[in-house]
Amino acid sequence: MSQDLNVDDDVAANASAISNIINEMIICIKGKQLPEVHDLEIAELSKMVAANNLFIRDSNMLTERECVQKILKLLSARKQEDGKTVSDYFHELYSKLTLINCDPHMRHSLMTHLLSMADNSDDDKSSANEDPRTQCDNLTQILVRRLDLRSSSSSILNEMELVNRNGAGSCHSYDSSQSSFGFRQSFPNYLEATKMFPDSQHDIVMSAIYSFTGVQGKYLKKDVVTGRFKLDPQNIKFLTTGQAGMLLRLSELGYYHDRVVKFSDVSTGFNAIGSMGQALISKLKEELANFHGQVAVLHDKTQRFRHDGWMSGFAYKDKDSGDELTLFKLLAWYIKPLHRMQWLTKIADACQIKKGGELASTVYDFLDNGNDMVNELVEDLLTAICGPLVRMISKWILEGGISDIHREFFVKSIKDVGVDRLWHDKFRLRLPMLPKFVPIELAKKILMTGKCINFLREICEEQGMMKKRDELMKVMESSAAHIFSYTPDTSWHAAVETCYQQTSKHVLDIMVGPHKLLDHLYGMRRYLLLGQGDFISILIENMKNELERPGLDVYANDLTSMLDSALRCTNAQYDDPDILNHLDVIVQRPFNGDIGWDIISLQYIVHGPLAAMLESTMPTYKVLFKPLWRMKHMEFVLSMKIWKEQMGNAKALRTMKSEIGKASHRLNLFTSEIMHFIHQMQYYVLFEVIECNWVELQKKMQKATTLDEILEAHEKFLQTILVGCFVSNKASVEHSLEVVYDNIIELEKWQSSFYKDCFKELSARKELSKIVEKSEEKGVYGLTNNMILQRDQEAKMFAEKMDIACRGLEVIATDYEKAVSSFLMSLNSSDDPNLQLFGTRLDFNEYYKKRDTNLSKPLTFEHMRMSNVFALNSRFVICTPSCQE
Amino acid sequence: MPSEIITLQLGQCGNQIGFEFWKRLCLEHGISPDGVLEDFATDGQDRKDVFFYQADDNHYIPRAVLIDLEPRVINNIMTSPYSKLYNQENVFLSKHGGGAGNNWASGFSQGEKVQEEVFDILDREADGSDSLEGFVLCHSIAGGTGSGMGSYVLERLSERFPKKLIQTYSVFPNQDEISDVVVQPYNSILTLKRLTKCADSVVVLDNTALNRIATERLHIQTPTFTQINNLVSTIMSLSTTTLRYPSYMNNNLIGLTASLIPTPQLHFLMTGYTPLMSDCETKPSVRKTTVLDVMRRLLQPKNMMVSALTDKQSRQCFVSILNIIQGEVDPSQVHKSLQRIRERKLANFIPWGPASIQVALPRSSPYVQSAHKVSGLMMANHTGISSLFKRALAQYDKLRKRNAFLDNFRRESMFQDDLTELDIARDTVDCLVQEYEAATQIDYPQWSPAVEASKAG
Repeated sequence: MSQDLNVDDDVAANASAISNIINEMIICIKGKQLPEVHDLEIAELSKMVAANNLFIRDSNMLTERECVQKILKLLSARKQEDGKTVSDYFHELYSKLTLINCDPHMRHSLMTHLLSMADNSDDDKSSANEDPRTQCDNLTQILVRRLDLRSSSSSILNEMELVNRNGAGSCHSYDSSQSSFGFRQSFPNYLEATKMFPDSQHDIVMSAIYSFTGVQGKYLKKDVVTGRFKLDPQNIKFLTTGQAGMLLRLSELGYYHDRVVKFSDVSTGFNAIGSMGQALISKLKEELANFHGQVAVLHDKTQRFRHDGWMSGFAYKDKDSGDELTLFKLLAWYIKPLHRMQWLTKIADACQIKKGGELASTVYDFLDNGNDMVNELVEDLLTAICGPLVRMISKWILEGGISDIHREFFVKSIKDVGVDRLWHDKFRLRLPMLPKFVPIELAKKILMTGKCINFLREICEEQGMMKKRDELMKVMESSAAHIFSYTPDTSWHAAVETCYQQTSKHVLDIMVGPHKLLDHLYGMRRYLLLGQGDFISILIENMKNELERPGLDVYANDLTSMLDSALRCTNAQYDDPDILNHLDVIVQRPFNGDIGWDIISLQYIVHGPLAAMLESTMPTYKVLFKPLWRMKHMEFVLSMKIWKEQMGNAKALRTMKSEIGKASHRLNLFTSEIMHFIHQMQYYVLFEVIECNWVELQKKMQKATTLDEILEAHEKFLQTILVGCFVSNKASVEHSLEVVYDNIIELEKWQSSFYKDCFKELSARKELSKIVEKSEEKGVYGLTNNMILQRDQEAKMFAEKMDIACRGLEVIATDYEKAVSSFLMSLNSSDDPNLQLFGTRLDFNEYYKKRDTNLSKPLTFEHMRMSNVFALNSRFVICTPSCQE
Repeated sequence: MPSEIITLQLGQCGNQIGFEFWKRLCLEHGISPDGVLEDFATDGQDRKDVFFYQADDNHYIPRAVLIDLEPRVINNIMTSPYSKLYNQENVFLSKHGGGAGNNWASGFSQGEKVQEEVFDILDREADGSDSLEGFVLCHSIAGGTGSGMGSYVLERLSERFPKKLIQTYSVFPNQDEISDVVVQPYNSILTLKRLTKCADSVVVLDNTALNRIATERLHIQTPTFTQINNLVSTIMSLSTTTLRYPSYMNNNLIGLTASLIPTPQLHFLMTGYTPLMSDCETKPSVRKTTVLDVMRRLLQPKNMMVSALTDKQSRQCFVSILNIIQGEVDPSQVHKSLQRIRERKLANFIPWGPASIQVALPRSSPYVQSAHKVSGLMMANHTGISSLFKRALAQYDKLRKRNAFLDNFRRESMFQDDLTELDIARDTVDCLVQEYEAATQIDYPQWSPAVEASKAG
């Protein structure tokens, strides 16, 4: 600062001397001129010198000495006027100037300016001699412009400087290496520069303007490889270093413009694809068109100025010379478009070869920018992109249609899937195409809505259009921007929600109402899952003969009438006939040794809309029915045959109590043991597993607002039951259960032969006593020795038979006990707490535990720890392959 | 119609409790006193045809046979609003109307005399049902008709319908008060023999316990028959709910009883009910009734309808338990409660085989409003019931030693020559007591009934 003040003081002191010298110097360079021009020049020059313009000096790389030499060289080339060469005179003047105490910086600046003046005047003279006014055009132009910049637009200048400084290697990807390369290149040329065209200034500006739209001009050529602009080496000599730098800087806009053009050109292959891509491209093109418009205005302005300049002559320059476009003005102007083009490039670059939701997600990522302009720009683009998406969504959720030739919609319809699986399989989400701003729940709702519409149309044959369809459509398609709103509370979201609610409610109403979905589920629970106990027991009672027949002799048509009569005479008769009609009894093809029990099963037949909903669960019901049916079989054998026979026969065989008492006592107790097992088992499966889960399901079904909720809950219900019914469990559990069942069948066979023997013996005894009675009546002893012997023999044989039978019973009992033990063992060591509890309940009074010490092991701490270690290990083993992947 | 059950009401007591039972069933099924279905009873979830059948005009008729040797009670029934309910053809009254004079032998022999008429009725009823499951007999074991004629009918029933179940609701006399029927011990023992030999399951309704419950729990100073019968009808109706409101299990008599009765002799079931509440209590005392509470209370002796010793010190134990629980029950609570009972060892079970508490959760009638959130009935096979028989034996022995009051018995042909029938009956009951005693031991499976039988023979 102090230095600057000194300089100012010097300037004040030596002002007159300096101005004189400068005056002479200008005359020296320019020759005699009009006094006004001359004065103007002097005034400008001195002003500039006084201001010690750093800018000028900075833009020039030459030292003061070099400047002087250059000027001298230029001047010496001119013809002499009054003996003395101009150059000598200039040199003299320069020496005088150096004598005056003045700031060397200022002098340097002055010399630089004078050099450019000399340079220009040379051009003027050589090219545009016929128009003398233009001689000083350039100088005036420069001076005036600098005056402008200094006085009125200093702020702009500062901004430009700021921008430029920032730009030299920062975010706007102004390529510093290139520009410096340009400088270096221009350096020697400049030194050699001998000629200047008179309107080069205009050309340069025009060149810059051309470059904005990617057109090569006089000074700027495109690099073939990078596509960037570079200075034309042929014309570079006509540029000052400052101009070169500015041109290069300006040309950057052209580079980004070119890239945007490339991205918006579908033939290049770099463009985004699909209809949403097309939307982006058209938006890019729109941006380009806007930009071109702006450039055209600039272009027009330049041309007009030049034209006006020619027309109105010299006077014009005084008044409006401020309007002329210069590189500086362009620099100020180009910031905004550059910024925009850069962002467009960046976005378009990221969107290459993307489509649909992916494209939208990509653009969406740019949305969160602090810069308002960027934010707006991205929002515009995204709105454009989402236009087709929103239309696809509204078509889907209002009409159930998909018109998606580019496969960019996040809902897809699978062609190969038929109408029968429409509900479960036909429509899926195409997750890669799901835009980030559409949450998965919303996507599912959208999927669901369209699916419902398709379902209603295809399967329920409902043609009714949605209420207020047009209104909703209008709302939805009016504002594509709503779809990516941060908070899902826009009118679009509301409209989607309305559609979803309306459609899903409609479907739900139709399924629950006319199609009685819930009633059917309840029906299946009662008939297939044996909830209607009286029906099942009557059915078994009715079919009892068929069930025990060999499989080949069982005919389905006989069974159907039995089913009907069972339905008629139990509480099932009060059920909706609609439900009952779906119930059917089927006979599978028998394998060798199968009896009716193995091949007869109940089935629920569903058609139409119900089939679409429930067909997929039918195999599960089939699987579930088997163990339940088997359990009922066991209960039937146990109570209706084994227990009832025991009770009845106990009365009939009372007289033989001494002989068969032991065996029948064992039989009774063994039966009660099995009875306990089967009852607990049934109770567990039918109540704790099925009934408890059914209650849960019912709660969920009542709460459900959509069909899928019901179906999902139902699916889950079935899965839980599958586990609870020991289907899809560990094989060991199933195996021991099977052994238990087999032993029950064995017992039944054993018992019938046991009682057969007993009754045979009983009747033999009765026969004997009858004979005795008769003979007593006759008064003779009617029994021959032979008869007594035979009777004794028979009695002995019977006693032996009883012994054998007792042993046979023990074998069955031992087998049974082993099976129960291993069943309990696997229950106790199961991971499922419910099964563990069931295990403890089966052994409620710890009868088995006391008999088999192994059974208590799984409940000890040690065992649990060991099994935990095992479980961890196995998990580890399972995990490793996935880790390798 | 399937799994039908025919109810026989014998004697004064049997007809009274039977009457209350049918009243209760009508209420629960929404059937008016004259057998017409009430307008509100359109909910088809209940199964009426087990106990009722429909006449041509669709009105419901109980499958009930009313038998008595004196007309008083039946006449009362026939003059009540429910008179039109019953099939008049099913009412049997002896012609002389003199009753059995509280004499078992008289009842038995009169039964023999009128058997043709009675079995005509029974056969007709049995033929009228598609698949008859069994008979339910309501009677008392102390009087004349119920015990004597009841015994006769039991014997004939088991012969004539060997494949049908016979269940009885047998009212045991009140031991706390001196009975005006002096031969009551004889009657009891003689009836008990038939109950042991001919019935498949006997639900014991002990007047001693019922009276005690009425006075101690319900705070009624002098309980009337109606109040006691009210209790009985509650038990009877509750124990048949799973038959009348079918769901997943225990939907027939055999399913209900088979798991409770391990051997043919051990078929005497006691019942317990909670919450006990009288009609006079206007405001039900506020009690928390959860499933666990109900189950726990059911295991308490004071809620038992049998005055048998069931304290924890004794070796007496449960052979099997079935809890029928009604009301607002969260299904998942049930197994938690069971687990809790097991942990705390609230119930003492047999050592010789697996046993546990079975639970049935039938729907309750929508037409009867219950003041309680949850109510429960326990049907249990408990060895402690033998104390009841022991008491009967002791009283019998007291009389028999002196051969007291046997004149009336000797008048009947059965006892004309000797009194062996009495001794045989006593042996049978004694044998039963011993079997119950044996069932408390771990070596019950090795126990041989043959020894007792031979002793009896």
